[in-house]
Amino acid sequence: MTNPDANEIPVWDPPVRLFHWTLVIAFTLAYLSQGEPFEELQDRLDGEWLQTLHVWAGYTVAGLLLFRLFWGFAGPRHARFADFVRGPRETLCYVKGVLTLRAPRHLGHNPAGGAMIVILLLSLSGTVVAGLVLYGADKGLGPLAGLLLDSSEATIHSIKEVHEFLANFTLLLVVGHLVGVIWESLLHRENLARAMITGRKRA
Amino acid sequence: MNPRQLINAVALAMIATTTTTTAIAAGEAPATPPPATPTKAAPAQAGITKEQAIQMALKAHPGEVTKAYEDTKKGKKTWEVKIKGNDGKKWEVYYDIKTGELVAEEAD
Repeated sequence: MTNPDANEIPVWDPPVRLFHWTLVIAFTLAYLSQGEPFEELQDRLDGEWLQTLHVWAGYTVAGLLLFRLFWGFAGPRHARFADFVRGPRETLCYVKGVLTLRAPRHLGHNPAGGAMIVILLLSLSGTVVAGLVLYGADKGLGPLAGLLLDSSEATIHSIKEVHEFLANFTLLLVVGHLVGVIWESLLHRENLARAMITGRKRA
Repeated sequence: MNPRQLINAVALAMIATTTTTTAIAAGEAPATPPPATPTKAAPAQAGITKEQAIQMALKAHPGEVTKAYEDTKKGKKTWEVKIKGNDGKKWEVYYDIKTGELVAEEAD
C-alpha cells in the first residue's frame, strides 16, 4: 500500500456523508419491511413491528430530504446544487463521454452524477409524499389522516400503486447510481465508494 | 466557532432531530373519531380475539392464513388477517378489535 493520504484532499463534508449513508440504511429498511419482493420474509415477522419500522424509516427519509434541500444551498462547495446541477445538453454530452471512456474527471459530482442525484431526490420525495398520503387514507394515521379518512377503497388502491411504483423506480435508480459509481471508478482509477466514506479524493 | 463550523453544527443537529421527530411521529395516536356509543369502562369481554378474527376471516375466505396481527385501518384498531385463498387470491381482511365488525377486505 502506498501512502494513501499524501495527495488527497477533503471533498465530501461530514453532513453529506452522514446524509448519504443514513439514507441508504433508511431506504433499505423501508424497502425490506414492506417491499413486495420480501413478502415471504415479512410474513414470518411481526406485522405491527414491521409497520412501525417502515413508518420510522419513511419519516427519516423525509427529514433527510429536507436536510439535503437546505444543505444544497447552505453547504460547502461540493454539496451545493449549483456545483453539480447541469443542463440536459451538458449532461448528455458528458454521458456520451462516459460511454466512450473519454469523460473528464470531476472532483465533485460529475454532470451525470448530479443529474442522478436530482432524479433520486425527486423520486424519493414522491415516494415519501405518496407514503404519507397512503398512511392517512388507508390507516387513518399520520399528519394527513384528518384530510383523507374518507377515501374510497379504489382511491387507496391507486395511492398504494403510486407509492409502490415510485419505491421500485427509486430502487431502479439506485442500481443505475451503483453502475455509474463503478463505471466512473474504473474509468478514473479511483474508489468513489470509499471517497463517500472517508470524504477524501485524489487532488 | 467560525461560520462554517456553525453551519456544520446546525446540519448535524438537523439530521439528529430527524430521528427524534420520527420517534414522535411513529408513536402518534390514530385519528379515531370518538365512538358513537358511550364507552364508559367498556367490559373486557367486548371485542374479539385474534383467534376469533382468524375464524371469521377463514369463513369468509377459505384458504391458508399467512399472517394475523394488530393493524390500524381507517383510524380503527383492527385484526388484519392475511389469507392465501383457495380461490387463488391473496386476501386481507380487517375486523374491528372492539366491535368485531368487518372494516375492510381486499384481494390482490
